[in-house]
Amino acid sequence: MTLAAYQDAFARMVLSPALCLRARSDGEAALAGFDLDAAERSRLLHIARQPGMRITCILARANRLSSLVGALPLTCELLKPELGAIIDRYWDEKPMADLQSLPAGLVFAQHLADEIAAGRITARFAADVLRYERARLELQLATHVHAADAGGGGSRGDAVRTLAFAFDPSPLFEALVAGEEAPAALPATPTTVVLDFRGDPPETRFLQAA
Amino acid sequence: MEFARLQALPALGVGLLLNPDTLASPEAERAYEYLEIIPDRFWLDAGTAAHTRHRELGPSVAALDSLAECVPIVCHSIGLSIGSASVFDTGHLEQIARWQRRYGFAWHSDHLAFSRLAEHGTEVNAAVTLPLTRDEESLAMLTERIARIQTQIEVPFLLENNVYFVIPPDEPYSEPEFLNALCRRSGCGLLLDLHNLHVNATNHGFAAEAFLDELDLRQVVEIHVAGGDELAGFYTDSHAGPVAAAVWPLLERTLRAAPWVRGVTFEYHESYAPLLAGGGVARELQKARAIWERCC
Repeated sequence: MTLAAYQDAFARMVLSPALCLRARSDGEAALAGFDLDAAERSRLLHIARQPGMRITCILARANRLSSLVGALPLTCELLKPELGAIIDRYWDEKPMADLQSLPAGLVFAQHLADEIAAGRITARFAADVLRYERARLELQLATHVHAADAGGGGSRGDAVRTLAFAFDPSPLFEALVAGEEAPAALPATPTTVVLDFRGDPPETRFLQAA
Repeated sequence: MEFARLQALPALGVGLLLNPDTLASPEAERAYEYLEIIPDRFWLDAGTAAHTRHRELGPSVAALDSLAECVPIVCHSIGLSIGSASVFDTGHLEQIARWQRRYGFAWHSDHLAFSRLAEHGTEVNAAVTLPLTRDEESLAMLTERIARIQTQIEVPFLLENNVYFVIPPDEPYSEPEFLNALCRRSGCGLLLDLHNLHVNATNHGFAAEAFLDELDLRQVVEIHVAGGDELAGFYTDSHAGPVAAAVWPLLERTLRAAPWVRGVTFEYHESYAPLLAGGGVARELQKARAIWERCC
């Protein structure tokens, strides 16, 4: 029995509404995996039954979700029909330690890339949209961040990235920005997207072969 | 808190919590006398095991450097999670200490809660600040940690009363009793968030005025005022636009009774900036300023 175990069980109920619901329905059995004494179990069961636990779980989910959607808005828009299930699997595998959008987004992007490669995410254009947004995050990291512990400094890093597409992705990106579904078809014009983060604000150019 | 130490702090007046929208609200610039920053928003943190742990966000820090030449800056961190039994992050404190030296914060603060958990070398964030049990075990842990903070960072350390939607049962201390005991034993000061108090009073059905009557207001160094909105049947501390109407009389009551308040900070979240369009930030700051002048 430790204070750490009590806090761990409390937070796990917040992060997992399913655990909280089990605590309500099954009582002490739901908390058997935690090293708790009788008073702590009783306290947690009392907490689980309070109406305020629902809003606590909602806020925890919203806070985690907003950092991921803030980092990868177009990808999340594209995946919206299945995003809830994708996020739940992700959080089961990798509970988030860092809620800042840039690092959290990069870790989530790697997870999504793995899911696409494994065939568990099959939405049309998912790989393309993710590639575009991931490149933006990587450029942001390379150009806006420098070591603080070493007293500042650092370089701008690689500030320009080119991405080749077999089609013109601009109608796709515009639709997702507008919160619309991906177009049924895209212009079959090979397009190079140039992400230029040398200036403020960054520039995005769509270049098509003449 | 040693009250003589509080008396020596500069009275900063009315301030604003800096957010990305603040820089785009030039009319607000004339209305605040200091800025409060959430330092954690100015760097990336690669975690306690990383060789190069903190990496600063260059453009944001450059903007802060410019502002710091014109107005005092105070520090309100969200990263310590002082109540986490499994985590006490001295690396985070080192970074706060570096920034205290750099920007000359008159004081620094964090939240009286826990959100971070460490288990088998990995860390998890609960993504909300969760309430501590108000008992002797929590008091002992906090007192020891605050002593270490005060050794590491010279300026006074304040803890903010937190919002909570659930209450652990059978607590030996009421919230004001716990805050009084914590300040008395540890020497920390209070950042009294009057909107958090209003949120808790609304959701849990107690009188905010009675809470203030029970609290030793000599410990209060800074006050937060803010707004909120409703979600799923609860009133939340979302920092949604203007200050909640019920908070203004609480501010007046507190400023009349608390002798060493050094700043009143207006907080709003940048996502609610449209609710403050057309000079709304400056209006809230001016309201706070008028009460400050009447009472201080």
